[in-house]
Amino acid sequence: MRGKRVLFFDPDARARRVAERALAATGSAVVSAPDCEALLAAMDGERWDLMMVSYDPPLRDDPRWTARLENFDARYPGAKLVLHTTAPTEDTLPLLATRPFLRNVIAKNEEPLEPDELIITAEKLLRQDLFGLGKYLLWGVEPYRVEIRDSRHKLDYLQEVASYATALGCNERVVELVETVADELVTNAIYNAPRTEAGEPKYARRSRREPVELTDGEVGTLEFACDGDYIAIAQIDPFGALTQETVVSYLNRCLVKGPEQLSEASGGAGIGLYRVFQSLSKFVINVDPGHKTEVICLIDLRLSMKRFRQQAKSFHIFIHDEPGGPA
Amino acid sequence: MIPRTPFAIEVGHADGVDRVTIAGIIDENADLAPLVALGAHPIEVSMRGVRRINSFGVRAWIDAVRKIPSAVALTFVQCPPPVVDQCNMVAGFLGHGVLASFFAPMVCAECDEQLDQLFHTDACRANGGKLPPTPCPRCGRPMEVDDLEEQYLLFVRESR
Repeated sequence: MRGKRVLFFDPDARARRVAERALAATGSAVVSAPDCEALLAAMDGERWDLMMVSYDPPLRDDPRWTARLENFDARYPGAKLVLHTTAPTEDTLPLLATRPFLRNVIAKNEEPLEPDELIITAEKLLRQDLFGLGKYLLWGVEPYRVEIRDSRHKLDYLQEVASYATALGCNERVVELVETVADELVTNAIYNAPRTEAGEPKYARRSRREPVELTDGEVGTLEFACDGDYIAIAQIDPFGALTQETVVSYLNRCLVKGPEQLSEASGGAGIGLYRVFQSLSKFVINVDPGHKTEVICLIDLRLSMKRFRQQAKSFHIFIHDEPGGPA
Repeated sequence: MIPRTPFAIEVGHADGVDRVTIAGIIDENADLAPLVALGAHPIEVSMRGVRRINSFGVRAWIDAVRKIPSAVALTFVQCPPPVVDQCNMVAGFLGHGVLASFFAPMVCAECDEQLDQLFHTDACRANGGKLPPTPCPRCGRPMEVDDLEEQYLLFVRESR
Protein backbone atom coordinates (compact mmCIF):
# COMPACT_ATOMS: atom_id res chain seq x y z
CA MET A 1 0.00 0.00 0.00
CA ARG A 2 1.46 3.34 -1.03
CA GLY A 3 2.92 5.38 1.78
CA LYS A 4 3.40 2.38 4.07
CA ARG A 5 6.71 1.10 5.33
CA VAL A 6 7.41 -2.63 5.58
CA LEU A 7 10.37 -4.31 7.27
CA PHE A 8 11.10 -7.85 6.11
CA PHE A 9 13.50 -10.25 7.80
CA ASP A 10 14.73 -13.62 6.58
CA PRO A 11 18.29 -15.00 6.55
CA ASP A 12 17.44 -16.75 3.25
CA ALA A 13 18.44 -14.42 0.40
CA ARG A 14 15.93 -16.04 -1.96
CA ALA A 15 13.10 -15.35 0.46
CA ARG A 16 14.22 -11.73 0.77
CA ARG A 17 14.28 -11.32 -2.99
CA VAL A 18 10.76 -12.75 -3.35
CA ALA A 19 9.42 -10.61 -0.51
CA GLU A 20 11.11 -7.40 -1.64
CA ARG A 21 9.68 -7.79 -5.11
CA ALA A 22 6.19 -8.81 -3.98
CA LEU A 23 5.79 -6.21 -1.26
CA ALA A 24 7.32 -3.38 -3.27
CA ALA A 25 4.84 -4.18 -6.04
CA THR A 26 2.04 -3.14 -3.70
CA GLY A 27 3.53 0.35 -3.43
CA SER A 28 4.96 -0.04 0.05
CA ALA A 29 8.52 0.99 0.85
CA VAL A 30 10.30 -2.26 1.72
CA VAL A 31 13.51 -2.70 3.67
CA SER A 32 14.87 -6.18 4.32
CA ALA A 33 17.19 -7.37 7.05
CA PRO A 34 19.51 -10.38 6.50
CA ASP A 35 20.21 -11.21 10.15
CA CYS A 36 18.92 -10.69 13.69
CA GLU A 37 21.30 -7.81 14.40
CA ALA A 38 20.17 -5.89 11.33
CA LEU A 39 16.55 -6.68 12.20
CA LEU A 40 16.94 -5.35 15.72
CA ALA A 41 18.64 -2.19 14.52
CA ALA A 42 15.93 -1.55 11.95
CA MET A 43 13.05 -2.30 14.35
CA ASP A 44 14.29 0.13 16.96
CA GLY A 45 15.76 2.68 14.57
CA GLU A 46 12.78 3.55 12.41
CA ARG A 47 8.99 3.54 12.37
CA TRP A 48 7.30 0.67 10.50
CA ASP A 49 3.71 -0.03 9.55
CA LEU A 50 4.34 -3.73 9.13
CA MET A 51 7.10 -6.14 10.13
CA MET A 52 7.30 -9.54 8.44
CA VAL A 53 9.77 -11.63 10.35
CA SER A 54 11.19 -15.14 9.97
CA TYR A 55 10.36 -16.95 13.19
CA ASP A 56 12.80 -19.81 12.81
CA PRO A 57 15.63 -20.32 15.30
CA PRO A 58 17.61 -18.57 16.62
CA LEU A 59 14.93 -15.92 16.95
CA ARG A 60 12.19 -18.40 17.95
CA ASP A 61 14.26 -19.94 20.75
CA ASP A 62 15.76 -16.74 22.12
CA PRO A 63 13.87 -15.59 25.24
CA ARG A 64 14.99 -12.01 24.62
CA TRP A 65 13.15 -12.03 21.30
CA THR A 66 10.12 -13.65 22.89
CA ALA A 67 10.03 -10.85 25.48
CA ARG A 68 10.46 -8.22 22.78
CA LEU A 69 7.66 -9.60 20.62
CA GLU A 70 5.36 -10.05 23.62
CA ASN A 71 5.53 -6.29 24.07
CA PHE A 72 5.26 -5.62 20.35
CA ASP A 73 2.12 -3.47 20.48
CA ALA A 74 3.49 -1.24 23.25
CA ARG A 75 6.97 -1.00 21.84
CA TYR A 76 5.92 -0.42 18.22
CA PRO A 77 2.54 1.31 18.39
CA GLY A 78 0.52 1.09 15.20
CA ALA A 79 2.79 -1.53 13.65
CA LYS A 80 1.55 -4.97 12.60
CA LEU A 81 3.51 -8.20 12.95
CA VAL A 82 3.50 -11.19 10.60
CA LEU A 83 5.75 -14.18 11.18
CA HIS A 84 6.80 -16.91 8.80
CA THR A 85 8.38 -20.23 9.65
CA THR A 86 9.68 -23.45 8.18
CA ALA A 87 8.67 -25.33 11.35
CA PRO A 88 6.07 -28.12 11.10
CA THR A 89 2.59 -27.13 12.21
CA GLU A 90 2.81 -29.51 15.18
CA ASP A 91 5.73 -27.44 16.49
CA THR A 92 4.07 -24.09 15.92
CA LEU A 93 0.65 -24.81 17.40
CA PRO A 94 1.78 -25.17 21.03
CA LEU A 95 3.64 -21.87 20.72
CA LEU A 96 0.44 -20.14 19.62
CA ALA A 97 -1.03 -20.95 23.02
CA THR A 98 1.70 -19.24 25.00
CA ARG A 99 2.77 -16.48 22.60
CA PRO A 100 -0.29 -14.42 21.63
CA PHE A 101 1.79 -12.32 19.24
CA LEU A 102 1.75 -15.35 16.93
CA ARG A 103 -1.39 -14.20 15.22
CA ASN A 104 -0.33 -14.36 11.58
CA VAL A 105 1.97 -17.26 10.83
CA ILE A 106 2.84 -18.00 7.22
CA ALA A 107 4.07 -21.54 6.56
CA LYS A 108 7.22 -21.56 4.50
CA ASN A 109 7.42 -24.91 2.73
CA GLU A 110 9.86 -25.86 -0.05
CA GLU A 111 9.56 -22.64 -2.00
CA PRO A 112 11.03 -19.47 -0.51
CA LEU A 113 7.59 -17.97 0.15
CA GLU A 114 4.36 -17.58 -1.80
CA PRO A 115 4.25 -13.97 -3.03
CA ASP A 116 0.44 -14.13 -3.09
CA GLU A 117 0.18 -14.93 0.60
CA LEU A 118 2.70 -12.22 1.50
CA ILE A 119 0.83 -9.58 -0.49
CA ILE A 120 -2.64 -10.59 0.69
CA THR A 121 -1.56 -10.72 4.34
CA ALA A 122 0.28 -7.41 4.16
CA GLU A 123 -2.49 -5.58 2.35
CA LYS A 124 -5.24 -6.89 4.62
CA LEU A 125 -3.37 -5.60 7.64
CA LEU A 126 -2.26 -2.31 6.15
CA ARG A 127 -5.65 -1.45 4.68
CA GLN A 128 -7.65 -3.01 7.55
CA ASP A 129 -9.75 -4.56 4.81
CA LEU A 130 -10.02 -8.01 6.32
CA PHE A 131 -13.08 -9.79 5.02
CA GLY A 132 -13.71 -11.64 1.80
CA LEU A 133 -12.93 -15.05 0.38
CA GLY A 134 -12.16 -13.46 -2.98
CA LYS A 135 -8.88 -12.02 -1.71
CA TYR A 136 -7.41 -15.53 -1.70
CA LEU A 137 -8.52 -16.48 -5.19
CA LEU A 138 -7.74 -15.32 -8.69
CA TRP A 139 -9.68 -12.38 -10.00
CA GLY A 140 -12.92 -13.35 -11.69
CA VAL A 141 -13.77 -16.31 -9.50
CA GLU A 142 -17.32 -16.01 -8.23
CA PRO A 143 -17.99 -17.84 -4.95
CA TYR A 144 -21.14 -19.90 -4.48
CA ARG A 145 -23.20 -18.96 -1.43
CA VAL A 146 -25.50 -21.02 0.73
CA GLU A 147 -27.53 -19.60 3.61
CA ILE A 148 -27.06 -21.57 6.83
CA ARG A 149 -30.36 -21.51 8.68
CA ASP A 150 -31.49 -24.92 9.89
CA SER A 151 -29.53 -27.88 11.28
CA ARG A 152 -32.04 -30.24 9.68
CA HIS A 153 -30.86 -29.03 6.27
CA LYS A 154 -27.18 -29.55 6.96
CA LEU A 155 -26.87 -32.49 4.58
CA ASP A 156 -28.32 -30.33 1.79
CA TYR A 157 -25.72 -27.63 2.45
CA LEU A 158 -22.94 -30.22 2.43
CA GLN A 159 -24.29 -31.84 -0.69
CA GLU A 160 -23.92 -28.55 -2.57
CA VAL A 161 -20.26 -28.22 -1.59
CA ALA A 162 -19.50 -31.90 -2.25
CA SER A 163 -21.14 -31.75 -5.67
CA TYR A 164 -19.09 -28.67 -6.50
CA ALA A 165 -15.84 -30.40 -5.50
CA THR A 166 -16.79 -33.50 -7.47
CA ALA A 167 -17.60 -31.40 -10.53
CA LEU A 168 -14.13 -29.86 -10.27
CA GLY A 169 -12.67 -33.34 -10.66
CA CYS A 170 -11.42 -33.66 -7.08
CA ASN A 171 -10.71 -37.25 -6.06
CA GLU A 172 -12.61 -39.01 -3.30
CA ARG A 173 -10.17 -38.11 -0.54
CA VAL A 174 -10.19 -34.42 -1.44
CA VAL A 175 -13.98 -34.44 -1.56
CA GLU A 176 -13.88 -35.98 1.91
CA LEU A 177 -11.62 -33.15 3.11
CA VAL A 178 -13.99 -30.59 1.61
CA GLU A 179 -17.01 -32.24 3.22
CA THR A 180 -15.24 -32.47 6.56
CA VAL A 181 -14.43 -28.76 6.51
CA ALA A 182 -17.94 -27.78 5.38
CA ASP A 183 -19.61 -30.07 7.94
CA GLU A 184 -17.72 -28.59 10.87
CA LEU A 185 -18.13 -25.00 9.63
CA VAL A 186 -21.89 -25.39 9.22
CA THR A 187 -22.17 -26.98 12.67
CA ASN A 188 -20.13 -24.10 14.07
CA ALA A 189 -22.38 -21.51 12.42
CA ILE A 190 -25.52 -23.13 13.80
CA TYR A 191 -24.49 -24.24 17.31
CA ASN A 192 -21.38 -22.33 18.38
CA ALA A 193 -21.50 -18.89 16.80
CA PRO A 194 -24.91 -17.52 17.89
CA ARG A 195 -24.89 -15.38 21.00
CA THR A 196 -27.59 -14.09 23.31
CA GLU A 197 -27.97 -10.35 23.78
CA ALA A 198 -25.74 -10.71 26.82
CA GLY A 199 -23.05 -12.22 24.61
CA GLU A 200 -23.42 -15.73 25.98
CA PRO A 201 -23.38 -18.80 23.73
CA LYS A 202 -26.98 -19.51 22.76
CA TYR A 203 -27.01 -23.06 21.39
CA ALA A 204 -23.51 -24.36 22.17
CA ARG A 205 -24.61 -26.70 24.95
CA ARG A 206 -27.35 -28.30 22.91
CA SER A 207 -26.73 -31.78 21.61
CA ARG A 208 -25.98 -31.75 17.90
CA ARG A 209 -28.85 -34.20 17.60
CA GLU A 210 -31.23 -31.48 18.77
CA PRO A 211 -32.46 -29.43 15.78
CA VAL A 212 -31.81 -25.70 15.73
CA GLU A 213 -33.38 -23.19 13.35
CA LEU A 214 -31.59 -19.85 13.35
CA THR A 215 -33.55 -16.60 13.43
CA ASP A 216 -33.10 -14.02 10.65
CA GLY A 217 -30.50 -12.15 12.68
CA GLU A 218 -28.52 -15.33 13.37
CA VAL A 219 -28.33 -16.77 9.86
CA GLY A 220 -24.85 -17.64 8.65
CA THR A 221 -23.40 -18.09 5.18
CA LEU A 222 -21.33 -20.85 3.62
CA GLU A 223 -19.24 -19.79 0.63
CA PHE A 224 -17.12 -21.93 -1.63
CA ALA A 225 -15.05 -21.32 -4.73
CA CYS A 226 -12.01 -22.57 -6.61
CA ASP A 227 -9.39 -20.92 -8.78
CA GLY A 228 -7.70 -24.08 -9.99
CA ASP A 229 -4.95 -24.04 -7.37
CA TYR A 230 -7.02 -23.77 -4.21
CA ILE A 231 -10.52 -24.75 -3.24
CA ALA A 232 -11.79 -22.33 -0.63
CA ILE A 233 -14.61 -22.84 1.85
CA ALA A 234 -15.73 -20.06 4.15
CA GLN A 235 -18.29 -19.63 6.88
CA ILE A 236 -19.55 -16.23 7.93
CA ASP A 237 -21.61 -15.42 10.99
CA PRO A 238 -22.97 -12.10 12.28
CA PHE A 239 -21.58 -12.41 15.81
CA GLY A 240 -17.82 -11.90 15.82
CA ALA A 241 -17.45 -13.94 18.98
CA LEU A 242 -14.54 -16.17 18.01
CA THR A 243 -11.29 -15.33 19.77
CA GLN A 244 -7.69 -16.30 19.20
CA GLU A 245 -7.60 -17.95 22.63
CA THR A 246 -10.59 -20.17 21.82
CA VAL A 247 -9.19 -21.27 18.48
CA VAL A 248 -5.72 -21.99 19.81
CA SER A 249 -6.89 -23.81 22.92
CA TYR A 250 -9.19 -26.09 20.90
CA LEU A 251 -6.44 -26.85 18.39
CA ASN A 252 -3.88 -27.60 21.05
CA ARG A 253 -6.14 -29.80 23.14
CA CYS A 254 -6.51 -32.13 20.18
CA LEU A 255 -2.87 -32.07 19.15
CA VAL A 256 -1.83 -34.66 21.70
CA LYS A 257 -3.59 -37.98 21.36
CA GLY A 258 -5.15 -38.80 24.69
CA PRO A 259 -8.18 -38.66 26.97
CA GLU A 260 -8.26 -34.85 26.92
CA GLN A 261 -9.06 -34.68 23.21
CA LEU A 262 -12.84 -34.92 23.48
CA SER A 263 -14.68 -32.21 25.37
CA GLU A 264 -17.74 -32.74 27.53
CA ALA A 265 -18.17 -28.99 27.97
CA SER A 266 -20.39 -28.46 24.95
CA GLY A 267 -23.03 -30.37 23.03
CA GLY A 268 -20.45 -31.26 20.40
CA ALA A 269 -17.20 -33.15 20.73
CA GLY A 270 -14.83 -30.17 20.85
CA ILE A 271 -12.71 -31.51 18.02
CA GLY A 272 -14.42 -29.79 15.10
CA LEU A 273 -11.88 -26.98 14.73
CA TYR A 274 -9.01 -29.43 14.87
CA ARG A 275 -10.60 -31.59 12.19
CA VAL A 276 -11.00 -28.50 10.03
CA PHE A 277 -7.38 -27.54 10.63
CA GLN A 278 -6.18 -31.04 9.71
CA SER A 279 -8.09 -30.86 6.44
CA LEU A 280 -6.69 -27.63 5.01
CA SER A 281 -3.55 -25.87 3.80
CA LYS A 282 -4.24 -22.35 5.03
CA PHE A 283 -6.51 -21.30 7.87
CA VAL A 284 -7.74 -17.71 7.95
CA ILE A 285 -10.02 -16.22 10.57
CA ASN A 286 -11.30 -12.67 10.23
CA VAL A 287 -13.03 -11.16 13.23
CA ASP A 288 -14.84 -7.90 13.69
CA PRO A 289 -15.48 -8.34 17.43
CA GLY A 290 -19.18 -8.38 18.26
CA HIS A 291 -20.19 -7.99 14.62
CA LYS A 292 -18.85 -10.61 12.25
CA THR A 293 -16.63 -13.67 11.96
CA GLU A 294 -15.37 -15.21 8.76
CA VAL A 295 -13.52 -18.51 8.80
CA ILE A 296 -11.75 -19.27 5.50
CA CYS A 297 -10.26 -22.67 4.74
CA LEU A 298 -8.02 -23.14 1.71
CA ILE A 299 -7.10 -26.57 0.41
CA ASP A 300 -4.21 -26.75 -2.05
CA LEU A 301 -5.41 -28.89 -4.94
CA ARG A 302 -1.98 -29.05 -6.57
CA LEU A 303 -0.65 -31.46 -3.95
CA SER A 304 -0.88 -35.22 -3.67
CA MET A 305 -2.26 -36.35 -0.33
CA LYS A 306 1.27 -37.26 0.74
CA ARG A 307 2.57 -33.76 -0.03
CA PHE A 308 -0.52 -32.26 1.57
CA ARG A 309 0.21 -34.10 4.81
CA GLN A 310 3.88 -33.09 4.71
CA GLN A 311 3.28 -29.39 4.24
CA ALA A 312 3.08 -26.99 7.14
CA LYS A 313 -0.13 -24.98 7.39
CA SER A 314 -0.48 -21.22 7.50
CA PHE A 315 -2.52 -19.77 10.34
CA HIS A 316 -3.97 -16.26 10.33
CA ILE A 317 -6.27 -14.51 12.69
CA PHE A 318 -7.09 -10.96 11.64
CA ILE A 319 -8.90 -8.86 14.18
CA HIS A 320 -10.44 -5.55 13.18
CA ASP A 321 -8.71 -2.66 14.95
CA GLU A 322 -11.96 -0.75 15.31
CA PRO A 323 -14.89 -3.10 15.91
CA GLY A 324 -17.85 -2.29 13.68
CA GLY A 325 -15.60 -0.68 11.08
CA PRO A 326 -15.85 -1.32 7.36
CA ALA A 327 -16.14 -5.00 6.56
CA MET B 1 -25.25 -34.51 -8.17
CA ILE B 2 -23.25 -37.20 -6.41
CA PRO B 3 -25.45 -39.63 -4.49
CA ARG B 4 -25.77 -38.97 -0.78
CA THR B 5 -24.64 -41.90 1.31
CA PRO B 6 -26.80 -42.14 4.43
CA PHE B 7 -25.67 -44.05 7.45
CA ALA B 8 -26.45 -47.74 7.30
CA ILE B 9 -25.82 -50.54 9.76
CA GLU B 10 -26.59 -54.22 9.30
CA VAL B 11 -26.13 -56.98 11.85
CA GLY B 12 -25.90 -60.66 11.00
CA HIS B 13 -24.67 -63.79 12.74
CA ALA B 14 -22.49 -66.52 11.29
CA ASP B 15 -20.05 -69.07 12.71
CA GLY B 16 -20.64 -67.91 16.28
CA VAL B 17 -19.69 -64.32 15.43
CA ASP B 18 -21.93 -61.25 15.25
CA ARG B 19 -21.04 -59.61 11.94
CA VAL B 20 -21.77 -55.91 11.62
CA THR B 21 -21.53 -53.92 8.41
CA ILE B 22 -21.41 -50.14 8.63
CA ALA B 23 -21.58 -47.73 5.71
CA GLY B 24 -22.10 -44.04 4.95
CA ILE B 25 -21.44 -41.07 7.20
CA ILE B 26 -21.11 -41.41 10.95
CA ASP B 27 -22.52 -38.15 12.29
CA GLU B 28 -25.31 -36.94 14.56
CA ASN B 29 -27.84 -38.86 12.45
CA ALA B 30 -26.09 -42.21 12.82
CA ASP B 31 -27.97 -44.69 15.00
CA LEU B 32 -25.35 -46.92 16.58
CA ALA B 33 -27.80 -48.66 18.92
CA PRO B 34 -27.66 -52.00 17.01
CA LEU B 35 -23.91 -52.14 17.68
CA VAL B 36 -24.28 -51.25 21.34
CA ALA B 37 -26.92 -53.96 21.78
CA LEU B 38 -24.39 -56.69 20.94
CA GLY B 39 -22.14 -58.42 23.43
CA ALA B 40 -23.22 -62.03 23.67
CA HIS B 41 -20.77 -63.20 20.98
CA PRO B 42 -17.51 -62.04 19.45
CA ILE B 43 -18.11 -59.08 17.12
CA GLU B 44 -16.59 -58.39 13.72
CA VAL B 45 -17.32 -54.96 12.25
CA SER B 46 -16.77 -54.31 8.56
CA MET B 47 -16.19 -50.58 8.01
CA ARG B 48 -15.57 -50.72 4.28
CA GLY B 49 -18.49 -48.49 3.33
CA VAL B 50 -17.77 -45.69 5.81
CA ARG B 51 -17.21 -42.49 3.83
CA ARG B 52 -16.69 -39.94 6.54
CA ILE B 53 -16.96 -39.36 10.29
CA ASN B 54 -17.63 -35.88 11.65
CA SER B 55 -16.62 -34.58 15.07
CA PHE B 56 -19.92 -35.44 16.74
CA GLY B 57 -19.78 -38.83 15.01
CA VAL B 58 -16.38 -39.47 16.61
CA ARG B 59 -17.80 -38.83 20.04
CA ALA B 60 -20.91 -40.91 19.40
CA TRP B 61 -18.78 -43.74 18.01
CA ILE B 62 -16.43 -43.79 21.01
CA ASP B 63 -19.39 -43.75 23.39
CA ALA B 64 -20.85 -46.73 21.50
CA VAL B 65 -17.73 -48.93 21.37
CA ARG B 66 -17.05 -48.24 25.05
CA LYS B 67 -20.39 -49.81 25.88
CA ILE B 68 -19.36 -53.13 24.38
CA PRO B 69 -18.14 -55.34 27.25
CA SER B 70 -14.36 -55.60 27.25
CA ALA B 71 -14.58 -59.37 27.59
CA VAL B 72 -16.19 -59.55 24.15
CA ALA B 73 -13.72 -59.91 21.27
CA LEU B 74 -14.15 -56.91 18.96
CA THR B 75 -12.49 -56.87 15.56
CA PHE B 76 -12.62 -54.19 12.87
CA VAL B 77 -12.01 -55.23 9.28
CA GLN B 78 -11.71 -53.51 5.90
CA CYS B 79 -11.29 -50.07 7.45
CA PRO B 80 -11.11 -47.34 4.76
CA PRO B 81 -8.82 -44.27 5.01
CA PRO B 82 -11.36 -42.08 6.88
CA VAL B 83 -11.53 -44.71 9.64
CA VAL B 84 -7.75 -45.28 9.71
CA ASP B 85 -7.27 -41.50 10.02
CA GLN B 86 -9.53 -41.43 13.08
CA CYS B 87 -7.75 -44.40 14.67
CA ASN B 88 -4.47 -42.55 14.27
CA MET B 89 -5.77 -39.20 15.46
CA VAL B 90 -8.22 -39.91 18.29
CA ALA B 91 -7.37 -41.90 21.41
CA GLY B 92 -9.72 -44.77 22.17
CA PHE B 93 -11.42 -44.70 18.79
CA LEU B 94 -11.62 -48.51 18.62
CA GLY B 95 -12.28 -49.03 22.31
CA HIS B 96 -10.81 -52.40 23.27
CA GLY B 97 -11.15 -53.55 19.66
CA VAL B 98 -8.48 -54.62 17.22
CA LEU B 99 -8.07 -53.29 13.69
CA ALA B 100 -7.38 -56.44 11.67
CA SER B 101 -7.44 -55.16 8.09
CA PHE B 102 -7.58 -51.84 6.32
CA PHE B 103 -7.41 -50.10 2.99
CA ALA B 104 -4.53 -47.82 2.03
CA PRO B 105 -4.67 -45.39 -0.88
CA MET B 106 -1.94 -46.57 -3.24
CA VAL B 107 -0.48 -44.70 -6.17
CA CYS B 108 1.96 -45.72 -8.88
CA ALA B 109 4.57 -43.06 -9.50
CA GLU B 110 5.25 -44.58 -12.91
CA CYS B 111 1.81 -44.76 -14.52
CA ASP B 112 -0.32 -42.82 -11.99
CA GLU B 113 -2.59 -45.79 -11.31
CA GLN B 114 -4.51 -45.19 -8.08
CA LEU B 115 -6.37 -47.74 -6.00
CA ASP B 116 -7.37 -48.58 -2.45
CA GLN B 117 -5.53 -51.78 -1.52
CA LEU B 118 -6.58 -54.06 1.33
CA PHE B 119 -3.83 -54.92 3.85
CA HIS B 120 -3.77 -57.05 6.96
CA THR B 121 -2.36 -55.44 10.08
CA ASP B 122 -0.47 -58.61 11.01
CA ALA B 123 1.28 -58.57 7.62
CA CYS B 124 2.40 -54.97 8.21
CA ARG B 125 3.63 -55.85 11.68
CA ALA B 126 5.59 -58.78 10.23
CA ASN B 127 7.05 -56.37 7.70
CA GLY B 128 8.56 -54.13 10.38
CA GLY B 129 5.54 -51.83 10.64
CA LYS B 130 5.50 -51.09 6.92
CA LEU B 131 3.16 -51.97 4.09
CA PRO B 132 4.09 -55.13 2.21
CA PRO B 133 5.28 -54.52 -1.37
CA THR B 134 2.37 -53.86 -3.73
CA PRO B 135 2.99 -54.17 -7.48
CA CYS B 136 0.98 -51.86 -9.72
CA PRO B 137 -1.70 -53.93 -11.52
CA ARG B 138 -1.16 -51.88 -14.66
CA CYS B 139 2.62 -51.62 -15.06
CA GLY B 140 3.97 -53.94 -12.36
CA ARG B 141 6.15 -51.31 -10.70
CA PRO B 142 5.99 -51.00 -6.90
CA MET B 143 3.20 -48.73 -5.68
CA GLU B 144 3.50 -46.41 -2.72
CA VAL B 145 0.93 -45.13 -0.28
CA ASP B 146 -0.40 -41.64 -1.09
CA ASP B 147 0.03 -40.52 2.49
CA LEU B 148 2.80 -40.35 5.05
CA GLU B 149 3.34 -44.08 5.60
CA GLU B 150 4.71 -43.69 9.10
CA GLN B 151 1.72 -41.57 10.08
CA TYR B 152 -0.83 -43.75 8.28
CA LEU B 153 0.47 -46.89 10.00
CA LEU B 154 0.69 -45.35 13.46
CA PHE B 155 -2.10 -47.67 14.64
CA VAL B 156 0.03 -50.70 13.69
CA ARG B 157 2.80 -49.60 16.03
CA GLU B 158 0.40 -48.55 18.77
CA SER B 159 -1.41 -51.89 18.77
CA ARG B 160 1.74 -53.94 19.38
